[in-house]
Amino acid sequence: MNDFRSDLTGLCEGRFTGALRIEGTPAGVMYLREGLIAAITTPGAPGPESLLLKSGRITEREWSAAFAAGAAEERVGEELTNAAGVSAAELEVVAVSALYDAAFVLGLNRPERWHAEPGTTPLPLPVRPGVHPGELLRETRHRLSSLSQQWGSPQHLAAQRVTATGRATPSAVPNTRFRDILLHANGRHTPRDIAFLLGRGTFAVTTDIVSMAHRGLLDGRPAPSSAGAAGAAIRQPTRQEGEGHPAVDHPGVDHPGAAPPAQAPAPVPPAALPRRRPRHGRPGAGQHGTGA
Amino acid sequence: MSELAMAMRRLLDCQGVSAAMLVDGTTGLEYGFDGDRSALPRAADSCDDARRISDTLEVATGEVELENITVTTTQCHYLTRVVPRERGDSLLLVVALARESTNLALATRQIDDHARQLFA
Repeated sequence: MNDFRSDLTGLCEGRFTGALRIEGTPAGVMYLREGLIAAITTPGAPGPESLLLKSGRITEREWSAAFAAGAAEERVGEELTNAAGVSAAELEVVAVSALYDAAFVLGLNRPERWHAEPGTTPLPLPVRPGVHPGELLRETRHRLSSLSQQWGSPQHLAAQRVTATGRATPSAVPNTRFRDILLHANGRHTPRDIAFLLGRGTFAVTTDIVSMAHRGLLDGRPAPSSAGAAGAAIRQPTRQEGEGHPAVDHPGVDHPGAAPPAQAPAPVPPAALPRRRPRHGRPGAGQHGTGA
Repeated sequence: MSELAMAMRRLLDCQGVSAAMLVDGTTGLEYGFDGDRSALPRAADSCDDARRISDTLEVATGEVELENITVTTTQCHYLTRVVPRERGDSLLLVVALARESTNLALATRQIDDHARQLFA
């Protein structure tokens, strides 16, 4: 992770413009403009389009029309404001929250490989002027640390199938956000799944799930320590195709209460691990980085 | 300057305001800030404080619709206003005001107006 951080810092200092493609579980792409991050895309977190559509702020038709009219010149936001009445401030909040949310999801696991591709890609809702990578990494560490303190392993939490305890029916819960989560807490959906269903951020939904578990509304209790996990009734997902291995640690983040996963993934033979190649030149010139 | 940055800058035009901040009410992410950094707590802390107060009131009274929080010290007023928003998680507008130069009732109304206009 330190290699990735240092590469990203190097791209910032070099005022890189282009895409930083990250392979891992999940994969993602960071789009940088003059060294600042304008957007991040990943299947692990809802992007601005999904947030706007699933929350009901705009319709599919409005998005399609705005995209068709404005995508090439990065005027999708202006088109949405004019045609769908979504304020520029609202779009800015959505774009910024989606960016940080994607970073959080990517930060759950150690990136396997990454490489930078120079060039400008039109983005539908870029954050202007962009987020400094240092600030992004700080906020991501804060989020992971916060979840570690409240629950235990963030990776473990992200893999949970969210299940209601039955203590309260959704209609009896005054908190609207909790009510919406309870409606989908059927033991089949992970926090990410629920985020996509509700049009909310993955970290926001995960935060609420922790609060709801503390209140006894959802199955699963945070393990106070690795030796004190008795009583936790956490449903373990069956491993899905394409799932990678969780990161062992997060540099700079302590896991005093991290509970070991109940199902440890099978070890990968050493010969199959990505090999680190010595770097030549500065990042941003098509260099390949590999996670050690 | 972004739309949110301009909105925070306009708040500084209100009498007595020394700092203003827009915070995500669920994640604690700061969306905008202007003014004296030392005049306000961190965004995540403001979010946590609002959540604790809301949780406490919910347990005691069943009431969860927080509207605003006002904290007064010997020097300052701190206003936390829930920003009205049609969709999406709640946002908090957190403002620090110098007590000696602020009419709290008037300031509260001005900040309410700003909050309503933010996503209008």
